[in-house]
Amino acid sequence: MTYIGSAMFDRELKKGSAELLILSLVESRPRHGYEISKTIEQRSDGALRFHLASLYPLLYRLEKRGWIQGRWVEKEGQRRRKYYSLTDEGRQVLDSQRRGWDSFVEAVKRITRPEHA
Amino acid sequence: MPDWRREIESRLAGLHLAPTREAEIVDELALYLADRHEEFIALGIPEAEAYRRALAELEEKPMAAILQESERAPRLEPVILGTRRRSNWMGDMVQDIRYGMRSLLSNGRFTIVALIALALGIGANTAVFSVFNGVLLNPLPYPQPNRLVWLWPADARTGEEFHGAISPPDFVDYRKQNSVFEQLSAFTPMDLNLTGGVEPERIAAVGVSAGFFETLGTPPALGRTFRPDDEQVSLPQTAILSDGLWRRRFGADPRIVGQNIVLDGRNVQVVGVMPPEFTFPKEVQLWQTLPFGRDELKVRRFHFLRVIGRLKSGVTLEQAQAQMKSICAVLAKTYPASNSEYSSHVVSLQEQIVGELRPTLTVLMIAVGFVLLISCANVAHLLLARATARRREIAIRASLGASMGRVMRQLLTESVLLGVFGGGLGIILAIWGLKGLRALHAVGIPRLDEVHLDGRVLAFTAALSILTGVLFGIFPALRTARPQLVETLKAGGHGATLGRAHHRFHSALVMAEVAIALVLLAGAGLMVRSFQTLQNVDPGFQPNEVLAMQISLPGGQHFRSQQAINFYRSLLDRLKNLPGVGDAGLVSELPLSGQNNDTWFKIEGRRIASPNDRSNADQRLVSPSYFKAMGIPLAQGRFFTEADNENGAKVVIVDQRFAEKFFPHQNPVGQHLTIDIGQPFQGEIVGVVGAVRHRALAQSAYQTMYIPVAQSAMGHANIVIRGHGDVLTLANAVKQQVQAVNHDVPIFGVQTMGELVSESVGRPRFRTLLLGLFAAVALMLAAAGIYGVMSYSVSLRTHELGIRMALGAEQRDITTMVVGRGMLLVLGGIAIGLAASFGLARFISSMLFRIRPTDPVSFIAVALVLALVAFLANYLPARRATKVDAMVALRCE
Repeated sequence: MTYIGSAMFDRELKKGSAELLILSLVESRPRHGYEISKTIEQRSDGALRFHLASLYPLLYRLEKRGWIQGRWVEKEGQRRRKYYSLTDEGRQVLDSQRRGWDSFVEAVKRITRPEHA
Repeated sequence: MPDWRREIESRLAGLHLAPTREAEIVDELALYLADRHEEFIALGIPEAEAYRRALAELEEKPMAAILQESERAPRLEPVILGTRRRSNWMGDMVQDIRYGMRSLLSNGRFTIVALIALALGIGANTAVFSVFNGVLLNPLPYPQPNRLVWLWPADARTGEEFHGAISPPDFVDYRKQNSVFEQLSAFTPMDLNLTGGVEPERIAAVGVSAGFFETLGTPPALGRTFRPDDEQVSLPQTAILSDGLWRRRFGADPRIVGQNIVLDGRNVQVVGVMPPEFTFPKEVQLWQTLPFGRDELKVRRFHFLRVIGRLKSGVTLEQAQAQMKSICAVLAKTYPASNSEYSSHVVSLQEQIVGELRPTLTVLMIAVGFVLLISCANVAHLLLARATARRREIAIRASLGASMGRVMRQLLTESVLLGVFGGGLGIILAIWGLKGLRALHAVGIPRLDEVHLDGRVLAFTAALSILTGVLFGIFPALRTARPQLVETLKAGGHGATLGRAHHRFHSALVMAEVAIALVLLAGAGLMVRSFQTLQNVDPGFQPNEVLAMQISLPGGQHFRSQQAINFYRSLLDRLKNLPGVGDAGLVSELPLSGQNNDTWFKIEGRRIASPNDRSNADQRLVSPSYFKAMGIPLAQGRFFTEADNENGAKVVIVDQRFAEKFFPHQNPVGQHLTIDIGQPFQGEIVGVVGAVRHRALAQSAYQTMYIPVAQSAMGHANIVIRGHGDVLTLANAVKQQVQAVNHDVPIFGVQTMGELVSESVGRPRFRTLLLGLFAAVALMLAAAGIYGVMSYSVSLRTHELGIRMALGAEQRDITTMVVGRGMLLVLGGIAIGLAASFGLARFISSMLFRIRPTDPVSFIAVALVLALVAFLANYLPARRATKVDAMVALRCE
């Protein structure tokens, strides 16, 4: 019971936060899909993984909403790749999602903090 | 390197993404997998395992299902605030159009087939309508063109018009005595030699009365038009240039007005230049005044003027007709010798110019209408077949609360969309078609150069497209919009639930298509047979390998006759010695060229009551070698010889037609004629030659008399040269010889007799070609339609056929059964079509040459062709049906 509940919670959390993760990663500079996937994996020490089947549909959805924009770029000595960057609209969404996330985390912390007698 | 792309493509296949988008996704994902694969290899994972792990990412979740969400998510429909959703008509329409577009796009094959059929049908209609519009409907390019009329002479007794000319004194009386015309004017074509420039030139000119330009209502671009005093002379003193001649010959110099130019060796003053759009009559380059002061223009029996008029405002054609009739009656009493048989007939100018084309164009319009009907039948069938496949979709919508009207509107929107797109493609086809039509260079189709896609044509096409969409969409929509909900949802929309009405409709479509195609084919068959007959007509001469050109002596009629005779003699001597020339001859009027001359004559020894009882015949001047050069055979007596010259006894040759008519059961050779060639020419008939169809191939020969050139005067001649092979290559050598004899003689109208013969049947060829083309399109569309219906009905019967085969039916039995059913429909269609054709053929009987509208050969031939094509269209699907594996067929439920 507990297990199922926490799994569902995780999934919702991940789904909601996935957008935030991607938007944050392309904030500072454009990245391609594989790079985004690797970065998430590395920075979370393997705790979070976005593989192809979950990553790309999400990227396309964000692109369709106009929050990120993909461009095919050919860099010297490398394959031609599609780099995603944050749009102005995406930046606003990111800001608001960050605030939402911070307050959510804050709320969770307050709830889960050990109570003092 | 593993083939990632293929793996990805196979997983996206069901999505039907736009090809570019799909390619992009495949590219991107393949890169990802390649990166991942490299990463695993770098970590030391063996190749096979690395491949498996990379691929596993693709398998993690059903890609297609997830992508579907992001790629195909429909945008939300805009809800217009302040209106109730149910009555939001505009919003519904926008939604319907969007939905329709999506539905058409997602059924590429259906859409393409339907669009091809529609584009052919609508395109043919647009092209023919634009000709119909440009030639018949658009007003002539003059102010108030409906007031313009043409005056024909008419037979005083019957009142019937005949396409002759009017004499100058009669015209002057008409002009003076009438009160119905604002302007009445006369013109007559005349060719003139323009000299004084680099090179002599023969130009097409017309002599016109003062008021000619005012009649048509077109002011000059420069200078003035002719004044009444310009025509009160015995030789024309003034001329007006066409825009083309002014630019080409005089470098568009405005100072030309007031200057003299040399026409037929005489100085004539240019008084004006007409604007570029003014070309009446067609192709004319210069207008001169008619010199009414001249003696020849005071003779009532010389009929050579064409007369046009502008009705006074408010005067009707009938009023004008009545007054002209009474004027003619008075003239007939005053001048009985010349005018007793003459009256006048008034027709509208537009009718005169294009009226003869009305039947041809009407028939073509009907023909393309039929083609469109077949297109509609094809598309209706396609829609119906597709509707069957869409029954579940419709049933779901209906069960969710969509009303039948709403669903119908949706379906009709789709078919109208199809119609509109088909119309768009049709316009493109029509533009090509019109280019092709102009390239046909159809001589005998007036105003073809004025034909273009104007607003009216586009409006016609737009209306037609929408109407077409409704026409082919309405029945399928009606049938589809009221499905039996429960059954359809249960059955999954396959064969078993289709009712009899459905099959009846398909059967009716097939029969209708066959019947309509047969009517078109029958019409085309009759035309083709008629055209063949026409082409096989013996013109009375042998046109192959004969070159013709015209020359005109300087000074025209003023060139003294002995000088002319010497010129022709030395020219013919030189031409006969040219390499490649078999025979060379001269003739005053060339057969089938539009040139003609007829005159009165008397047979010596026969009494006539009055000068009006003299007989009439065509009359030509020829050199002795003309008959051989043209290949006109001798029937009796002899040809002319060099001895029949200015010093010899006067001689005449007549044709067989003349001999039969005036000397039945008699030998005309040795008889004497007195021919009116300005002065009486008395000569003995020395020979009879074969009759020549001079005016048109379809018109029988008219009695003709030939006089030797050397015994008359001829300022303008046609050179006729019989050579070998491509005679056009002789043209330059001939030109050099002409100029060597006299440098001031212009040469023009270089043509082979073969071309002339072919041009003379330009109009029949035009309609035969077009009707044949439309019939071919109809046949093709009908065949496609039958094929489609048969394939479809076979596919519906897969299960049944499977059972039959499982129960032991032979392939042959199945084929016979399927083809038999199809051919029954086809034969029914053919029967209906034949009946309709017999009824309709009389409408084209006036366009047929020596072929009866009930010509059995045509009807049997086209019925057989149609039956054969229909058989193939039936047989192919039937054969496929027999290839069905019984097990597959049984499982197909």
